[in-house]
Amino acid sequence: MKNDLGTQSQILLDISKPRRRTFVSQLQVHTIPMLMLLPFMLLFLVFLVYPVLKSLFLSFTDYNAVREPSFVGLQNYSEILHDPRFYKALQNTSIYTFSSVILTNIIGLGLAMAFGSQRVLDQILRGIFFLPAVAGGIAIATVWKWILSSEDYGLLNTIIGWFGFESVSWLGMPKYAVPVLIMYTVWNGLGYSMILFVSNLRSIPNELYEAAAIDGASPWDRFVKITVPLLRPTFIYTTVTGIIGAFQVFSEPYIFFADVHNVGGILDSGLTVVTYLFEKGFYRFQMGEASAVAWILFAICFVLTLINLRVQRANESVQ
Amino acid sequence: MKLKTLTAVLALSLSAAQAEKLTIWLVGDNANMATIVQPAADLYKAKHKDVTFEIRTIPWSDAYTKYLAAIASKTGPDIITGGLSFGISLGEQGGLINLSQKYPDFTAQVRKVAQKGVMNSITATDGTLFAIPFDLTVQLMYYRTDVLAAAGIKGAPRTWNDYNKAVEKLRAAGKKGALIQWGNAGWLSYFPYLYQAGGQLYDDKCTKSVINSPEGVTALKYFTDFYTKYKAPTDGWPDMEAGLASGDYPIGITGNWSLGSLPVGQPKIEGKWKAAKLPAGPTGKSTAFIGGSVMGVMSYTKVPDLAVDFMKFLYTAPAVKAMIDSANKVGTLWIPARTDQASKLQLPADRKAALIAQLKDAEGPANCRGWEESGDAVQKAIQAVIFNGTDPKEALDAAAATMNKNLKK
Repeated sequence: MKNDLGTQSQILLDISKPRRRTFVSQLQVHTIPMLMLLPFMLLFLVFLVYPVLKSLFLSFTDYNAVREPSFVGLQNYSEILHDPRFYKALQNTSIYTFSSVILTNIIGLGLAMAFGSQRVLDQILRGIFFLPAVAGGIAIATVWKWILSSEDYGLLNTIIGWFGFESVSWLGMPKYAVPVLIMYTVWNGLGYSMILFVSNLRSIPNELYEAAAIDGASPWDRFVKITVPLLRPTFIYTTVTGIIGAFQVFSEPYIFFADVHNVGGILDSGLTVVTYLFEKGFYRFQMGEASAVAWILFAICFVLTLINLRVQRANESVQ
Repeated sequence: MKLKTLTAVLALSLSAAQAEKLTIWLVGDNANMATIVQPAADLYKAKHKDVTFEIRTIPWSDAYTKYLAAIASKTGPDIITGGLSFGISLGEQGGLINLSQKYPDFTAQVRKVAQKGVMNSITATDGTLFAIPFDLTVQLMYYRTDVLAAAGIKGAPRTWNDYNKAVEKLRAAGKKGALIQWGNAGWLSYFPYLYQAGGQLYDDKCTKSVINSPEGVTALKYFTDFYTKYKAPTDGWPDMEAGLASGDYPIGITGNWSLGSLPVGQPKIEGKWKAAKLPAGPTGKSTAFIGGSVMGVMSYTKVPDLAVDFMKFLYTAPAVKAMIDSANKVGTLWIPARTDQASKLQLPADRKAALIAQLKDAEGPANCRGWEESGDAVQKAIQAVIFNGTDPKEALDAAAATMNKNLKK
């Protein structure tokens, strides 16, 4: 019996051991898949890995796109971290990011709960709310520039005028710069988050609500204790992608505030990290500093995403 | 044997043709710029049959990057046009031929005939000229004759005081007042008032900034009133032409382009508006900001002599006339760097007179080292006074400190 067991376990051990393949047989197995992957790998290396590594290298150089780059060590990083304009850009971007992500989530969820059913009217309304996400981009931002103009042809001021109020210089006063960006982004992004929340809400079993209702849970209790926890995957997704996207905002502040001399608008009230990067790179041709800003931005997004995921994980373990 | 001879002849003729080709990139935000220059190129070609041209318009937003790429790769245009700062900037990087060194007779000729303010702006502090003026853009004041008359204002305001009184009267009459379009609430629109008050950005030898002089402070206080007291719009680029058309803003200051675009864009007010020089400051001068573009030869070109010869031709009266006329045909206004040729512009007499008068009293941006990097600091100083109520002297002192720091870099 012992011998039998011994033999069986020996056989099992032999099976569980990976078979040693010769180089030739491995080549035979992997050649075709590797060849099929080759076009992608080439493109990946040429258009992603190489530029990323090149920008890392350039961030340690003085480079103006004409002369050969010369190594300057950490000087670019030091200059940026001592530049008050960088902190202004960071402050604007942070306020913009956190406000727009929170508002987009809250309003998107509100709309999903209000118009999430399969009724025809709700479907039409969802389509309307989603339209800005489809039609977003430079054209829409340009239309908003017209809507927000302080001139009489500015739509918003025209409407305000009907009610007897004075025109407001939405794009011409520093205090409105970041709020205008937040408002535009929320308007643009809430349809997208609404659709994500609708699909997540549909996946929550109705029995949970019925059981809670039988147990006497109020609608608020059901929302806080059932809906919100079960929507966590969507919250994580919209928050992480929202933060990364918002920190990279460029076209809207550029269209709203940039002119031929300055990208940040009045007193840099609309300056964001990426418009600051753009100014360094393409107004001043300080490509080394622009690359350094890009890597600082990467570090910020990376750390924020890590913190966000850790916080979410901690919440899960508490619950 | 015959085939070989034929091939050799063909190759020779091809290389000869290539050697005589001029590639020209012109900055502009529509395709008109190439259309404007083409008739001048055709005139040149009539006398130089072996020369061929490739003329292309490059958008302003991309121009500098494309030129840098061309310089880095040593391929692309032979001649370029660009903003006033492009000459010194690209030249110092080795991208443009030093015209004052290689073609001193030509640059001496240009110095005699081109607009003086622009020449000062594009000549490096050591006298080097990498590019010559190509065309001009100057600020002008536009006003609605009927609306001003209805508000009891006789003609265009001629002095700072007249201007303020006019704005007060217009506001009292229910109008919004006056607006500035080009460089609104920034250094570019403050610039004329600085000069009209007797100030400057730097001293004559570019040794230090003098923007914080008493004249600079006077100018900034006056300029700030437009926004704080008379509520001029602060949007980046207010629509002056719509403001004139509606009568809400019967006075506006912007570039000469509106001389061409107002008749087309706002035909309803044709005959009801005029252009004038900017109001004169305490010095009696009506100095306006002048911009425009410059023209230079790329350092890698294989045909430098031909390029310079063509540029010389562009300064002749027939070439200037051809470009003015072709601009007129496409509904735009092209102002030559030779102001003595401005009389050929096809404009109503009063508008042409205003433009020529202003061209004679106009200054370009500073040519001092570090001005490009210092513009932001001046902008910030001006905006801090307008929007945050910062003391003008204090704000200009801060700007001067940055300008001095950049002078030494």
